[in-house]
Amino acid sequence: METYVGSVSRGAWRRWSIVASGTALLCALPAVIAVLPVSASPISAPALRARILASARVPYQGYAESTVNLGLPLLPGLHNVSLLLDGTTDQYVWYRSPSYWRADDVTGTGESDTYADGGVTYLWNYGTNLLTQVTGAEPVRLPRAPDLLPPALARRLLDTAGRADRISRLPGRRIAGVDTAGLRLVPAGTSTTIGAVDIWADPVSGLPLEVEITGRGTTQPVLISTFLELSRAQPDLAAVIPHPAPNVGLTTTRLPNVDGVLNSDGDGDGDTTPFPPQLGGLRRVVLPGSPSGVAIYGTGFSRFVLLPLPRGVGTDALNAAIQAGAGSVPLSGTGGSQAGTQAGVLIRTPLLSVLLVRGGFHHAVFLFTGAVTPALLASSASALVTDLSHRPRFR
Amino acid sequence: MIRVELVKLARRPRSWVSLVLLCGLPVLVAVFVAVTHLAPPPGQGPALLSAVLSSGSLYPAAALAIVLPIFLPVAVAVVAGDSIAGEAGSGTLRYLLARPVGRTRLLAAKLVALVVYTLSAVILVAVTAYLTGIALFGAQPVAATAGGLTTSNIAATSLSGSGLSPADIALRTIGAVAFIAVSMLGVGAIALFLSTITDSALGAALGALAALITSEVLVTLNAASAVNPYLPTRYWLAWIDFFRDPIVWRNIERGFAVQGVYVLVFLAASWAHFATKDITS
Amino acid sequence: MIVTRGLTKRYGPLLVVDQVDLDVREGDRYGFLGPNGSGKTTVVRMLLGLVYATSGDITVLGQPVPKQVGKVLPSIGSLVEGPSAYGHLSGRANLALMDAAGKSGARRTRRSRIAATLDRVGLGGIDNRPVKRYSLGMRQRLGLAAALLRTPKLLILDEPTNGLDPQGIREIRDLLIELNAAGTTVFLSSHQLSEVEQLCTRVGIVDRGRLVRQDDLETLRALTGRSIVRTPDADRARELLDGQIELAQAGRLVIADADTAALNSRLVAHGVRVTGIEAERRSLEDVVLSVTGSGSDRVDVQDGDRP
Repeated sequence: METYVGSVSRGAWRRWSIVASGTALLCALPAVIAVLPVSASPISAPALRARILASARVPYQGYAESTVNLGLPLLPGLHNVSLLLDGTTDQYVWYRSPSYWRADDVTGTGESDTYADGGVTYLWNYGTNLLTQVTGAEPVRLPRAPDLLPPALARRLLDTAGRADRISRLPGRRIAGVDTAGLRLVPAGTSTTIGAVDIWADPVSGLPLEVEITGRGTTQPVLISTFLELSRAQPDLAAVIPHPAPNVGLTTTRLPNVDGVLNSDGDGDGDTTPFPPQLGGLRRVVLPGSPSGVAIYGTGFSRFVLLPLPRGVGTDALNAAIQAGAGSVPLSGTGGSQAGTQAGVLIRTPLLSVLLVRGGFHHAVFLFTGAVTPALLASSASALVTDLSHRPRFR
Repeated sequence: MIRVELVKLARRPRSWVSLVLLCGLPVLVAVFVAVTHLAPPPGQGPALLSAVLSSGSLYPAAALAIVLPIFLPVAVAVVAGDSIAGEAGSGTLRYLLARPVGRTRLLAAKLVALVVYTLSAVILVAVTAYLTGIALFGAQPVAATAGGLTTSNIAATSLSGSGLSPADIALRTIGAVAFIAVSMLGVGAIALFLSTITDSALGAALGALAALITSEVLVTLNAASAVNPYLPTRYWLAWIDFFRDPIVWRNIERGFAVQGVYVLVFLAASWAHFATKDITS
Repeated sequence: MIVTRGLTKRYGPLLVVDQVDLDVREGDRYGFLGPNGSGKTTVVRMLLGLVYATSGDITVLGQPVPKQVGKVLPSIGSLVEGPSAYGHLSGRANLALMDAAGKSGARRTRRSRIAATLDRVGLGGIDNRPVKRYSLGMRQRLGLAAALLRTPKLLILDEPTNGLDPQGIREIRDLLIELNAAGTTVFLSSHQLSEVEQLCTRVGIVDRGRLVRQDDLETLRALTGRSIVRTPDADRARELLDGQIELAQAGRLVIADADTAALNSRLVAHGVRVTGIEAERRSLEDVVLSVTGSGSDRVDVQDGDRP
């Protein structure tokens, strides 16, 4: 005869085992999906690279998450960029074609959207309740959230790469349900801080789905941008153009006014700054239509930006950097009577280096930044300061 | 048994006091905002609160945002934590079970009462907030008449800057109400489980709130990103996605799924534990 | 009605109920007697399926418990460790909720059934005040009402007269006897000797988790074979019955002779005035003390613990 005691404890055991196995099953589900084998694509590295570069016309819509851990201090006037380069950015994107797409940078309480509507860019900010139409070409501008989207970032990085940079294949990954093929790009130059750029793309369409950037000499990626959800359906045209509500503010502006610190006239005094043609061994590159207040030096991954900051912004930035614990670097070779006074303020991050230095007749603040070694920025800054000190009439 | 539990819930003064407090806070906020015309800047403070000055029809959503972080979870955790532990504490649990009420049936009835309470709390907040919003802020945006556009059917602005018709807002608010109610059920399930373990209703409620706070801390922690998608509060704020245009479903779907898993797991654990527990209270 | 075999309950290392073999028969007024902490309440909870035994079997009303406890509970009224109710509701509302929970009688008759039951326990005229304003005795009566709501075949009552005044205790006792006469078996767990002695027909004595004695009250209170004589002429009686007197104190003599009638006539014949004579019976207290140790709420220093 069955005793009830047995049946009770057996019942408890049975109940708990049902609950435990059900819970384990639910918890294991994501892990199981993650370890399902990814079909390996036989595509070669150069072919994959070519396919990625040619993928700009592939339509998609999805949800991307970009995480950057640079540890940059918040610099005045560069607030938005600092937020972008430190932390997680969530974006919904509808990409119809290179000139018609929309990306929503969403937060818990609002969103800022970027629309590419033909040749026009619209920026919507829920916080200011303002839809801004940006006119004019924008070859040089501060980074915006859509720049972090895997397709845009991957194509930009591959575009930047030169012949000397080595590419190789990586094992595939399943990203947002797509079996992707991996591509590793290792920059050749010694002056860049980028150790490796890893891209995973759909081997068929070439659409990049994940990008990881690792600093030189480190193993942990500094930047990870990946799709959490992706659909290859082409979004409707109506979905990628703005439909402002009647009470939304509308404004039209030129790009430099959007980015604030990128004022077109150097240090804000109406000066036309003659940038030296060469700094730190890198030649200045002039892009057509770029604002005169910004200079770009170098090619490929060995490239940095020189930006004279408007007077107020410059001093604030310098103070903020010092308060954030930025180190001081002596600038060598300045010579002359100013030798003792010249020192740069350097912010080191695993990827990006930022150097601020005061110089010139007006003691303007110059900002050097790029994914290059601090040494390169220091020698460039030394060269600039020397150059300015030799031209006391520099205005 | 379900009717018995509903009667108990309804005849409990505490249920009504908590509902009044829940509905009172948004009314209070609305009165202050309406009197001073000082809404927090957009993107700061409770979501959507900045928008209500121009349109009261968004106030139900803003009110939900106000009660979501603390008030609502506390109310739900207290009711859920009380469900079994409260009966144990007052000594009525043994009489209910000896009545007899099957243990699984008692648990199911408690769950139904909890669902009813949660739903009515969220719906009541939305309804009172709607009435308050219309009364204090009006239904039309202030600038709606600007321009030559037909503005008669635009009642508010979405987060994406597009206009929303009253029907649109109603549907989206219903979606948000459903989402928030389901989010609260996750807390409720945790509290219900703890309620079967301890004989102290307060302990069960506090335990569930402790779990929530842990989850909220971990959500913001980069180092805990590996467990982030599985945390109960991870997708709590996704209800705001109902007020984007178009509605982006990804996080909403995930939110429903995560809460569903929490409800399922903790209910199953409650059942497994309670069905063979020695009732010594 | 209730049969247990080898019923044992452990809480971790603590043995609370140890090999209890209860046998409660139909029509009994069974007194389950034991000091506080002797495991009575745990046994009661196991009978009701609230606590699960570690080992052993329980049969209540012919059904195995807890396996078929759902079948037997509707025929059982119970009061476990004091009454409980929702304090913010009135007594009537509490009974209505209790009645509606579980397999209840018809809804239509609920009101009249509740009124009748309240009448029965002496709360017929109660107003609508919330239970939290009831006195302890009123709560006890309300708890009894809840137990009686469905005219049970078996009443399992744990300390039902707690908090009642002597008048109330008497009322409840009469009520239980009346119910028993109408066919309800009563299982009463108590630590009060007098309560059991006055009400019960059958007694089980429990001590430290073990059932140490279980028998009809009459059997337990067997004649001792002695007689007790009260007389103002104690000295004369002593002379007469020399050697038979076991104890003499202030006019009360304990005599080793079971035949009270013969003893009486013999005393009277010899001119000893007898004011009272009766055959001596064992008191329940004697029985309990002879089979149990000190209560478990007393904690003595063990020899080994002394320094």
